[in-house]
Amino acid sequence: MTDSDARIPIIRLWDVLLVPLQGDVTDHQVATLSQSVLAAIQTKGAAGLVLDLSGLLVVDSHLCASFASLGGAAALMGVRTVLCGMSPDIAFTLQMMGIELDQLHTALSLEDALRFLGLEPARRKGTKGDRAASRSLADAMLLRNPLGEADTSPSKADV
Amino acid sequence: MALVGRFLSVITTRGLIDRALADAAVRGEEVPPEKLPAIKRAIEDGLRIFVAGPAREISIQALRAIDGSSMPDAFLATIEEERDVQNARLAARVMCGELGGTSLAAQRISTSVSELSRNILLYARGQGTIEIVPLLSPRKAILVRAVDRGTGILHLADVLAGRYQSKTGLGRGIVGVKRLSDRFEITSNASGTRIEAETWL
Repeated sequence: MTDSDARIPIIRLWDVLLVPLQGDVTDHQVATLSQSVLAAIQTKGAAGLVLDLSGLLVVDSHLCASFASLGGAAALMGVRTVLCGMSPDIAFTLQMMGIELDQLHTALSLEDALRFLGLEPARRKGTKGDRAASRSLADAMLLRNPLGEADTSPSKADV
Repeated sequence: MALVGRFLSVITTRGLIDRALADAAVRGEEVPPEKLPAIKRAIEDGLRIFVAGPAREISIQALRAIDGSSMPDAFLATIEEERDVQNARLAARVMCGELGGTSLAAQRISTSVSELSRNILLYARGQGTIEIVPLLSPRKAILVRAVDRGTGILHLADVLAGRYQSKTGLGRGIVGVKRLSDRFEITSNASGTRIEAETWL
């Protein structure tokens, strides 16, 4: 549950701005958010905007209108907006109400939204080795006996 | 006690309830009725610590309402500020859970409450009330009643036909509520508006 005047965070991921919406969002919070997102687009030179709805409790017509106008304003600044993480209950409720968000692109998950905006996951070469090394270090620390002596038995990560 | 889970994370909920049961020396699934008050007090202390904002009072009221059998109390509030809208939305969600409604029903009802209470906030601030009433017969349902002494809805026929575009929403607030509910009644004139929207569980 968010307090009615708490600020909604805007996270910068490379050239994408990510807005995770959580709990119960007030009209005042959304209005403040829209202004700060548009300001952030200008100062940070973002190319895309993702609104993640997965943590929202209620999405009503006013909130949808706010998203649509934020997306419209962002589009005027050359920024594509993607809505993601809508729960089945919210999607069905909006559909029943006859609300269509056809001006905005929607994606099932945050990954899909980022992919739509051109961000693809790529793992650095050799990362696998680093992971195995840190795993075996973690295992060695966990297997330490209560007296603090390192356990000398082979760790699971070696198998 | 799924009630606590609607306000807190799974881990916090489990910890809180386990602790309350342990303090009351209850083992196993069955809770003896004479231990219930002590458990509720322990959980209430936990809610005070872990739940923030307007949800805190609502969660505590909902907890106090539990006595094993009773029907949840109706909710009635004057809508004067955004916090009242938030409280009403949360109260609808909690009541739906207490009556054993599905999460979709909770979504439909709390969305209706959100639309109707916002309309009061925008057009009849401080002059209208939202009432959320649990119904058991003829069937399990939740009735949302919005009554205000505002200036009424001018283009009611257009609004209900979905032809009206408002400045604030998509012009879909009231017609949306009508489509979300199983029974919908509206009367509006220059001295106020009264809407009843009933959703079956």
